[in-house]
Amino acid sequence: MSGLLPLLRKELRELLRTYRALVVAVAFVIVGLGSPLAAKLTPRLLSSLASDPTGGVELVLTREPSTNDALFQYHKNLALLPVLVILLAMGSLSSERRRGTAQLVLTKPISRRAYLLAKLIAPGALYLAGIAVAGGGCLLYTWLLFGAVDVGGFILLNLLYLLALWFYLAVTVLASAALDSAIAAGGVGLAAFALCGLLGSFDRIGRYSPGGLFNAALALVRGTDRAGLVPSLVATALLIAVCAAIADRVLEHQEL
Amino acid sequence: MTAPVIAIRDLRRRFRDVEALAGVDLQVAGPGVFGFLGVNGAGKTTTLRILAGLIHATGGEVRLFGEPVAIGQAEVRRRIGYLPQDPVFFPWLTGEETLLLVADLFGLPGAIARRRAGEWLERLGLGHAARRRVGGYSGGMLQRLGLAQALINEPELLLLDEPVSALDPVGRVEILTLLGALSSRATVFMSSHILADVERVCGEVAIIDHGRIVVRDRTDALRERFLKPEFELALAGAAAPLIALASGAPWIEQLRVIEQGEFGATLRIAVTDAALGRRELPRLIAHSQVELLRFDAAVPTLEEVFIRIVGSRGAAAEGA
Repeated sequence: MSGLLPLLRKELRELLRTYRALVVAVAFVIVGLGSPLAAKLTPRLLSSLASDPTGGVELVLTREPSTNDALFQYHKNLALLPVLVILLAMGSLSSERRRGTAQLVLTKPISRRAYLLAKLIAPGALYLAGIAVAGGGCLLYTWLLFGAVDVGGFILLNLLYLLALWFYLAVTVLASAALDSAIAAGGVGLAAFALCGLLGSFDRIGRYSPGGLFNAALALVRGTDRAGLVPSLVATALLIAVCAAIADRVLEHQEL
Repeated sequence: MTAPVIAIRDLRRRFRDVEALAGVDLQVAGPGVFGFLGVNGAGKTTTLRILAGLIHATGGEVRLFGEPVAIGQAEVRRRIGYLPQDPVFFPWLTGEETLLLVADLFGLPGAIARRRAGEWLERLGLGHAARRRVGGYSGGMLQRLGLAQALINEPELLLLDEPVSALDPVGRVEILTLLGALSSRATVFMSSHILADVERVCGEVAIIDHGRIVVRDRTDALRERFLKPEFELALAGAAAPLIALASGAPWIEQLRVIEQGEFGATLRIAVTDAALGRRELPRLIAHSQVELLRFDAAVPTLEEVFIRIVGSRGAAAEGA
């Protein structure tokens, strides 16, 4: 596959120069560090706000926030990051095609498959780094604020989130390959996000969809049933491969 | 036997109900600069885009260096440089970085890439802007950068779509001189509708009209073919002796006195055949004993040839 390395270098440089890497870094740092902090401070903040110094009303916390609360907050915040992934990926192919920069690249001796893979691998690597930063920050702050965390389970949890982000990246890149409008591609990505969320709420179907990944992650956080983990993991990995394969076919003979 | 650099056979392309190419046949042996002429919408850009592997043909065959051209085919592109009509670049890269990216895509080693990038930026007058982001370049600078990226791999075939259209007259001369210098080692296939530019640099031309090649020849042969059988004479004295003799020559169709002054006259003589005129007119002049100052065959410009070919076809089409 000719040209993958130079294209990867180009994509990574683009992520840096266009500040997309910075946006992703900021978002993941906020999620990673902010989640345990929010879990720790929100009840106290609410309590102080609800307290009436004249002695009328007082909010009484029945229990202190725990590690699970921090991880649950982390889970809730990470569940929104696919939207960022979709917004950043929606113009990756369609905008280059529409502006004409795809011509500059694809009239050189590189394969279209390499062009597509670079569009998947570079942001995929960025989200891997983002999850590592967010997870590391969350782990550190949770440990500092709440005490010990099951590191193995936490790593598995983050791998599930990463797979989910890669899925939304693959869906949006496929839409961007097939459609001329970046907004339309973003719409497809968001529709997939909504659909997967909906499917995830049905236990039987949900466990065979990317939406099931978040349920599996939630189960990990709560320490409950992990039965849905493997089917949703396999289904998501397969769907990523299918999206990439379809995008490859779309690009193979596409006119520029 | 070596395959022609470009071999196009019965090339067709239809965009919905518009037939952009209606059976183009063309072979270019190279090296040299080949002009591809046509009015707007004649099919020049469509042909070039098919040659560059950007769009499909709906019929026919295209081969470059004997290899069939298709979308997604990467290998033949190592030998090609392509400049689109409106070159577009990544605005977040500088001019130098753009050339280094393209060199990287061609797999050139870093040292060679840096050397060539520097050389081409200087030669194309972009040395001062090498470290500036391309997003701030003017149209002319983008066209120069487009040419630099097309040349970075030292291609055997350069496909150029209107390569000097965005340049000022000085820039046009610079670039055309550069293309002329490349003609000994590469095949330059350039489309244009600026015929004076083509005339200046192209050894061979083809004219495309309504998606078909209507003429293909060497530039000088084409002018010769469309030579008007007409001559212009400037005389130092009276023209009367020559006019008297000319009236008896059956091969002279018309003689007009363009200017008649105290010190001489200018005549325009239309003959039945240009070669006959070149042979017989000097004899007639000598015989009339007039004092000749100037004797010119009316050589048409490429523009006149183009208008005669395309214009007559247009008129015929309108009359049909």
